[in-house]
Amino acid sequence: MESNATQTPSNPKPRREKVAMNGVDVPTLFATINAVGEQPELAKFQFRATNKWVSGTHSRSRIEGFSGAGGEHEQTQDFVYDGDHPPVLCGKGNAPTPVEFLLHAIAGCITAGIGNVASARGVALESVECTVEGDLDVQGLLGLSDSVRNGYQALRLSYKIKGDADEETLRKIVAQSQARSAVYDVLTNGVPVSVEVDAA
Amino acid sequence: MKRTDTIIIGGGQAGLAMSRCLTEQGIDHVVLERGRVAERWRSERWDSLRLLSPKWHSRLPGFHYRGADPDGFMTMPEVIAYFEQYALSFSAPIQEETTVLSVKRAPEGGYFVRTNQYDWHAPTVVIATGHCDVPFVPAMAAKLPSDVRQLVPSRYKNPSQLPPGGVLVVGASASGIQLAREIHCSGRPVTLAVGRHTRMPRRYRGRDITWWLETSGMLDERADRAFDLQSARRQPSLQLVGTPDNETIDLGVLQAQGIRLVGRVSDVDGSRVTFCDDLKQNIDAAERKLDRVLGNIDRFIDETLMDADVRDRRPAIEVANAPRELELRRAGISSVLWATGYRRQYPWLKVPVLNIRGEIIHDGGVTAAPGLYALGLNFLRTRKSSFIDGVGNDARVLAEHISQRFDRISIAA
Repeated sequence: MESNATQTPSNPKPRREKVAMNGVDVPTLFATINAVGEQPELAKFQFRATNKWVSGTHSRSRIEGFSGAGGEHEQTQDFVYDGDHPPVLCGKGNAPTPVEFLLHAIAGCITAGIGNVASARGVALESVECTVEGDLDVQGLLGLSDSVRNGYQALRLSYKIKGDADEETLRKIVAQSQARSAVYDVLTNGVPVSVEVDAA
Repeated sequence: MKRTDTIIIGGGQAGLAMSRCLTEQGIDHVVLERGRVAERWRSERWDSLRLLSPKWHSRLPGFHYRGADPDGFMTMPEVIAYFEQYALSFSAPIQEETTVLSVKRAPEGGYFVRTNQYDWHAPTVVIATGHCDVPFVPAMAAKLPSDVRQLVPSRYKNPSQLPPGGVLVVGASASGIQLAREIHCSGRPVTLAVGRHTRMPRRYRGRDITWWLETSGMLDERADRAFDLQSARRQPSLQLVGTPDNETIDLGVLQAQGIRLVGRVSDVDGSRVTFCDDLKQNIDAAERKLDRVLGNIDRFIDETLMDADVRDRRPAIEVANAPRELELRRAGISSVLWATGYRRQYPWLKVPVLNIRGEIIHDGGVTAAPGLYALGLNFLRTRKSSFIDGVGNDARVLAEHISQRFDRISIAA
């Protein structure tokens, strides 16, 4: 029977007390990192989505579940996202274009990381704002030029971050999040993509 | 599809306590039990086992021990009869032999519970499948040679199951120390691998330790005030045994009887098992914990001016140098008993409330999924949440939560 209040930490170094902050459950965050460290087989995740054509350039994705930590996981609710092209590019504009989702993906990923890293470092955040711009020359995707790439030529993220830490600390938090961002990694380093077709 | 207000999964102490509380609240419910009432007490316990706390310390909502031996320790047949009587006492609506196959959110709200009997729908589900769900065996067990007999406490009945020869018992909490002694007494030399453990005397200053822990308030320590709840929830069971003559089994007693103590198992490579050099460290850590607990009791006695015998702390345990490595064949060890604790598995739970270790994320038993609750887990709300005597308070609080939820739903409708 251990009284935790009087527990001597096994680690003699003074530890920063891990407390929930910025809406991040820091003790659980560290417990999760430790668990995966002890059991690397928990680290293998697979994310999945399905997509169905609706009409014209309009389609609908469902993101229903994923595997990881040795099991299948349901989402907390039904996540359904539409994609379309804008009228100026002959779509109906029912939803953002898929390339705009990439802007959402990279900003969402790095901002999530900022929330975690800041909380783990004990920095209370006041505000984090990001604007994302992506330059895209549509000559490529319209098939008008083979020398112009189909996708973005450049992405620019601009973060405004405020919190109870000095400028350098806040900059380091953003840099650390960028360094550990899955979307940043996949956009800058690429990933093998295979496309199978069943046309039966 | 059958419908009810609340589905309780598991017909053990937690499920029955919740059933009793919901009965009092007038909430329609069913208890789904994969076997019979108190199934694990029937089929996953060894023959000689008795409860670790005295018979009086088994109070449940609307029920308590009324026999002539409140200070004794229930045998397994007594435990089973106790829970059967409890279920009968309020006609608990139990569906036995009903295995839950899946729990899913229903599109219209609430949950679908698919079983091997009927399918159910209910706005509320209580997961009461218990802390001691499936034995945890470290992955390295798979590296032992096939001629070494491997066993977990939930499959162990008595020493006659074991082949002749020595036995390595891994884990020195309640199961490990009890089985080490029983197997040693059967004439099989025992080596006991000792990791993190909690030493506890059966009696202290004239009373059973349970009485002190209970009365001094230590068992009521709240989860929301625990220093490190994640670690507290993984705390091993107390080194206790329930016997008619109030015996204490500790590592000193076992060592004196000829059981060899070694450190935590670090790795297995075929017939070669290596141990950490941490036996003394683990024992010293347990001594410090014991000092803190007994110190709390002493302070409690001083503050309340309570009558108590003089301090009678058992001496600290001294250990000789332990081997760091054993070649099982050469050491004559033919079986390994993994008394390395339990883990929870919810492969049927299709609601996203599990953490990376597969444990239910909850706040005092309330999950983030509306209407989904957990009960009976270690340190769910207090230090005694997984005890027979502790689950009742949690069940009362959660039943109240459920009842208020129904009040809100009916107002909204």
